[in-house]
Amino acid sequence: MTETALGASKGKLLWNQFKTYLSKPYNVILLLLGILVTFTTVAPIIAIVEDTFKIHAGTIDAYLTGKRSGFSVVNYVDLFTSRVAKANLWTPLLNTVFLAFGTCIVSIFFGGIVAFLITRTNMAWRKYISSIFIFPYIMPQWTLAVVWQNLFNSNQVTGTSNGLMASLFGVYMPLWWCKGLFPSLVVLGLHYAPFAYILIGGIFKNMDANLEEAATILDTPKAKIMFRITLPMVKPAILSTVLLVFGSAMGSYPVPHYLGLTTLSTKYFEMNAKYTGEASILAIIMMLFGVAIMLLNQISLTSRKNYTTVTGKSGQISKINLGKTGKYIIAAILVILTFFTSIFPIISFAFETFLPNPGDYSFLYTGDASNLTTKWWITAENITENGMYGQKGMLYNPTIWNAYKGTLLVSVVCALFAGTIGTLIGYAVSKNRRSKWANYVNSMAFLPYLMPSVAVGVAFFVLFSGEKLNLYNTYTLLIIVGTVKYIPFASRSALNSMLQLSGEIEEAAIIQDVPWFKRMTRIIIPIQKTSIISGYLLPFMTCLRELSLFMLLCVQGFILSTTLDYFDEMGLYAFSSGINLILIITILIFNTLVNKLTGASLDSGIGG
Amino acid sequence: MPEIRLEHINKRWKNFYAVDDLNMVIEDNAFVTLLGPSGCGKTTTLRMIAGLETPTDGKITIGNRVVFDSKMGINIPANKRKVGFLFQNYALWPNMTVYQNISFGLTNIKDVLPKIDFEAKNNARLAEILAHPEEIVKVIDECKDKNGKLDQTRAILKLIDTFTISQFTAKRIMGYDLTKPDFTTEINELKAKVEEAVKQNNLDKDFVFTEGGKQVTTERKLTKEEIDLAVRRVSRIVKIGMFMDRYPAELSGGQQQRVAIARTLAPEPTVLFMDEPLSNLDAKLRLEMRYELQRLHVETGSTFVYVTHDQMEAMTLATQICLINNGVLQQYEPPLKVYSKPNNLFVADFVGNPSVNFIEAKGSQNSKSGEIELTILDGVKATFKPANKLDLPVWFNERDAAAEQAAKDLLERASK
Repeated sequence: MTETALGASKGKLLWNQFKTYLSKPYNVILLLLGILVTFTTVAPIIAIVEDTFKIHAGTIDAYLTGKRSGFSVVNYVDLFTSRVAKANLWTPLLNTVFLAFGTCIVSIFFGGIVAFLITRTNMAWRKYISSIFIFPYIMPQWTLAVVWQNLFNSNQVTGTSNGLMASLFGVYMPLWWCKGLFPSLVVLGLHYAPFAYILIGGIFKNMDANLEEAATILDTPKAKIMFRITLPMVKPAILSTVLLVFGSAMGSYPVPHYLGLTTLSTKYFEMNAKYTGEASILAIIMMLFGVAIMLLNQISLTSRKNYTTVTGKSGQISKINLGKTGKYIIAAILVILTFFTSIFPIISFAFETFLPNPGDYSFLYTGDASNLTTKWWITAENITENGMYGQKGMLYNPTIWNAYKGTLLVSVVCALFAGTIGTLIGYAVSKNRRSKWANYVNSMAFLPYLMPSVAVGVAFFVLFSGEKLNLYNTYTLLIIVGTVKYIPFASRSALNSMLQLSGEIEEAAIIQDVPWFKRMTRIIIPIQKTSIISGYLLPFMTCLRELSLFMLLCVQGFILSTTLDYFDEMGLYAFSSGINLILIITILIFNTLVNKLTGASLDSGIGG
Repeated sequence: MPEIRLEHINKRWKNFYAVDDLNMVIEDNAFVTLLGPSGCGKTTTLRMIAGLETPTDGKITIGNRVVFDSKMGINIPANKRKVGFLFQNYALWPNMTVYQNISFGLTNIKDVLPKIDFEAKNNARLAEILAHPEEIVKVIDECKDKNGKLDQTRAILKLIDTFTISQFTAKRIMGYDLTKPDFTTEINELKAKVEEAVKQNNLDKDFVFTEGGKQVTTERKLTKEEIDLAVRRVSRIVKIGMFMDRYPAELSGGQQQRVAIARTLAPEPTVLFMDEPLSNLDAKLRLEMRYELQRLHVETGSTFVYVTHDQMEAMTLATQICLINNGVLQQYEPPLKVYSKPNNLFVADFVGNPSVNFIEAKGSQNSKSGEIELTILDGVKATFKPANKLDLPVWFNERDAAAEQAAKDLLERASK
């Protein structure tokens, strides 16, 4: 049957339907960006899968097969069955899973409790605690790891120079406390706790008070209200936290690296040179976890118990009274805790850059200013005899400042691309909630986030370091990778905010024939200004301090985080501390600027 | 002026029929209310006609233009259907003031319009007004507080409304020294300017450019002057002149609704869709607005389609009531007919306050006279004399056959 009842041929019918489809701007966006994200997500995966079967000249697979090129499954066989399988695969895998779970638990408990205290109790100094609490997230991951080392390491236990606790108080913490799984998961948990805080706090804050009041009227005991009504409401936020934290924790390189835990990501770097193909398999295993989390998320989203907690009509939330002294005691505990996670690192890094030798804290107990030095900052010439390995002081060091410029460039461009693409995806998906293609685009755009940074970096490294297309060590490559990895920040925040915006707001403009571009710039973007700005802000700040993702893709002086790693390996701890300090201060300045100029901030709307 | 025609419209979500095989013709210049209990598909129907929702299948024609046809794959988007839509939740843009909300749509209109010399037009109008300075002074005096201080914004607003002028002309009036009694020189100056312009460009009496006795038309956007006049015109209708600089968040629910009505009316749509527009107003204002809408309907001659679940509103406003239940059209007739001759039990029950009484009865037909003898209310005897001839067994057969056919259809569609 080629003719329908009214005489339109099938081709004409399809053409009409196609035209109708494309007459809606969000369909065009979905189509174009769908193709784009499919390519940017799938192509690297294919590249890395191919890499696991390829024989790399000069590595273990070439040795085992005796061939110099071609394809084989020897990498898989060797990785899973050889004598070193336990050391190369199973132990790191187990450590990674423990680390990821532990990080989720620590961050949800810590972040959730603080969110509860800040939004639902009358604790003192809520505003201060709210803004200081998110510091660990905006600071580089390894900050806390380094602080942990500086605090607890001791010559007796870890065989390094004495940390603060050992040199000042003579306290020697046991090895499990200083190195390995425990400190790693605590440090990462603290780093990601702001996620839990923002997500759970958002629900606590916006939850309709009527939900609880309805139970109170029915004479339900307080504890029962908490467990049967309040906490189930928070479940979606907890799930999203797991979703966001699990993948990030898995792919973290610097924290386990500093704290001496072998995970898949640290193992990858260890094996990369000699066991290239097998290392790629490790990256694939990490990716599989990302895909699994995404599927789990899909299942939880389609559950029928899908409730809107934000009704917009919620009135006064009843706050729990902690008592006259209680509200100060609890606040004081949090202030002390956040001092160590948020303020101490900055002081500590600053202090380290004035120590004549790493771990030489003699100034603290002698009070003698001659035990400090400014040489790390102001040495203006190449001299080797003062322990600077021929480097100029940080203020004059061209390597550092070039890397700083590179970091800023990559961050700004990444933020612009990722923010714009992500916002458009979020908008288009929100307009098309039921369509399968929209959900596919959304998932594809989100997938890179769930994949561990190291794995994404590896995939792009493999994809773009071929003979035909070699982008290794170019800013272009860093920008592409950064954009792909950070689109989810923007798409998620845009999607959430667009869903809060009643469709009628745009329909009212459509009816009056307002063109799409004008609808976006005059109505939608102004209304959702803050969340769209945070869609640009998050990629920017994350990119500034990114290491795991970029490590493989450029040489050491290219951007600041890799330069930091370089000086750290070299033993110039004052330099790495100084770079940390520069990074943290840069991020804080930008955060404050954006906050003051636009009112957008990461913890917006939760504090106080 | 358009007529709206719906043919076999279906809207389905999975197995749920929101609208089921709807056929209706909304005549030109009609005021049709879609009435029914909540969740029956009224709003969906309205949104489908406006193009905000896509029907699963069927055909919609507005005027002589097919705007939707599933068989041809035609679906003209909402913005090209040239209709007005009043949303239940107002959908005011929170980032714009009331004035911007109303004028925003107007700034986008680009159409073939007569070319008008606004300067000449305004000058002529200004000369007319200045001829009676005492009236201006009277208006302005009303806007002085007890200390004799003039409230500028209020005075401008008052001038705009008294003389039906734009805010730009009003500001010009405020610029004159109104203490002197006579404006003859100014008036003569203005008139001279007007005459010159009329001569130069062959303006007709509405100050439209003419060429060879015909009005000149060009494709152009609305001028600021026209936009302002339109905004003032609609804001007078809904009485929101004093809120022009406020943001929607600073208005009460009823005021927001009035702004939404003004925004919809501003582009003078020939087809106007309204989704429970009066539901949030207080009782008095609702009554006022009801008459206002009726007046608008008569004045503009537009076609109105109005969704409501308030039958009082439907009865008083509509020329035709379209009663829907569970997505199925129950009756589509003028209000009094729906009331006095309900099609079925649902209609009888839904319309009317108090509603029709239902009494269960048992009985049989007297085959000779055709009368039906009944027993009601525990043993009271009654006789029902049908006005038209009624053969009960035949009627039963027809009913059962129809029900069977309906069940079959449903099965067929469900398995499709």
